[in-house]
Amino acid sequence: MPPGTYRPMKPLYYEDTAVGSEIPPLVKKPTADQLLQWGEVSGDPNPIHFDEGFARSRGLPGIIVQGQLVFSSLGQLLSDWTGEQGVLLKLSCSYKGMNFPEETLTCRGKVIKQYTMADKYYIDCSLWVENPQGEKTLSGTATVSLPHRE
Amino acid sequence: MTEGIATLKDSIGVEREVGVYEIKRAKIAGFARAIGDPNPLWQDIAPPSLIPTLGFARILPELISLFPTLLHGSTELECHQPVRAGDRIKVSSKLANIRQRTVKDQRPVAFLTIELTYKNQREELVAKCRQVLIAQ
Repeated sequence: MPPGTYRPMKPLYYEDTAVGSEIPPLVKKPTADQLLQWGEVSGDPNPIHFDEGFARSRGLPGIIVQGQLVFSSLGQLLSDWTGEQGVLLKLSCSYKGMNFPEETLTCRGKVIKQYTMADKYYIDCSLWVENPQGEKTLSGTATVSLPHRE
Repeated sequence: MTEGIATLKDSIGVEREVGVYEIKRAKIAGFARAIGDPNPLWQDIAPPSLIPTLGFARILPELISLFPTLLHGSTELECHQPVRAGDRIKVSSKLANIRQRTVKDQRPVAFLTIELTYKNQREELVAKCRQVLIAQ
């Protein structure tokens, strides 16, 4: 499936998940154009994301992908999986390494905890992004509330 | 870097209003396009990852001018309710702390923790975000 295609899935219920369940991976490939576009909508004015010369003058190997653009992909990984009824409550990540435009990034995750509280059903997930070398450039966690079958 | 930190010292712990942002349908659509997320959910509801970008443009320029290099360390987003088209989101920010450290190659770095709060037009808490920026 080409990157950028929405992958409609069945609604995900709490009962469909288990500790260790893997989230279907999401493959992204941010382009230099996308970095510019994201810079515009987010207002991030940092030239290290669009000015090659500036990025190099700051000791970077070239322009780098905005961390929060990749953070958004972790959100997409979850919303593609959980569907309309899943509610994202927490999404955190650490930016561990740099991502470069035109690199293929694979967003992955798995369920690490399931619990109920006050009649609501929650899962915690561990999430990460791998660059083409298989290095984790982002790692994070999320909490989602899911519907459950009566 | 030391100068930059000295400039910021007085603002530690002081909350200030960053701005009020109207969430138009076109803004949601533009954001979803920019992140390459074609999910039809993102018409009346904003992708949660849009929230940390609100007001970010107002906070960053000052920091970029103070430090030669500014990288993103982490983002922690806590969502209390969805942001919907038509909402007016008020963003407040606070520099929570500055921690100075020396990294492996002996370069001094500063970790700036910024806490942001997002409220809607009914003064309801919509989200909170903690951003850590790494200044060199």
